[in-house]
Amino acid sequence: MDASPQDRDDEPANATVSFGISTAITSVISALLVVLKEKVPAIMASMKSATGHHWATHSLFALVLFLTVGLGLTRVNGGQGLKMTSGRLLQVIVSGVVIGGSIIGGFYLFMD
Amino acid sequence: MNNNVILMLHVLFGLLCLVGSLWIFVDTLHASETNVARIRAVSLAAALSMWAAYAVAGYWYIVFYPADKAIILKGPWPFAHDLVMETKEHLVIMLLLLATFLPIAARGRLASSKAARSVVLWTSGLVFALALVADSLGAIIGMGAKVALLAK
Repeated sequence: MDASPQDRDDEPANATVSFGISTAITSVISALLVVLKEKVPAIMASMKSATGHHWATHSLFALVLFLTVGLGLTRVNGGQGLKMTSGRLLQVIVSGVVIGGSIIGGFYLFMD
Repeated sequence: MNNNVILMLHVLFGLLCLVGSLWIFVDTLHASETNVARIRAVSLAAALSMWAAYAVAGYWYIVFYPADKAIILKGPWPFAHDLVMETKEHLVIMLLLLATFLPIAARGRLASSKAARSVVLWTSGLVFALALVADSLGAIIGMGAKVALLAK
């Protein structure tokens, strides 16, 4: 997880790329889970029964997914992680946050 | 502990994260060997503040909010729960993830790598923007409860 020699020129470190991508992926999946649990009563019920509150289960799911995807990506490519420029990584992160935020806001504004 | 104290602690920790993210943004604009350790320390502090804000808010939301929710839904601003709280409680998950990612990104070679700096700049900027949105949404929820109580 420390800064690696790959962190030079225009390539951020392995952990930065891996957890940056994980942030984006988790943001979108978490937003999709919002729609799913609000639209499918069985999923909402199972999330409530898992921890006692759907939001607590949702938070736990997002954190586990974030750590799993982030740590998993650090190990790909023989432990070198994904090669990606900072510009591309930022596109992924910002897109993930904007898409995730739009799904959540859009759902409660127009569909719920 | 009094539920109002818990709520104020939530706001306090959230604001610490907000201010911390702004500090990181400005410090990273001028990153050099002399301030990299400070950027990393403030990044960690901002992440810990966000975790504290999240934990405190989660406890308050699960234990105390149902009573406020009932009041808000009977008042003139039901959207303060239906739209604003529902959106906020899920947006902050992304904020928590970004704040957690911040100290990871700050471990890069900020003094020598423009790539490392740009990731920290954008991430701290996103944390600041989302924290500001969360703070504003929280204010609307508070107003939703207030106007409902005033209408009684």
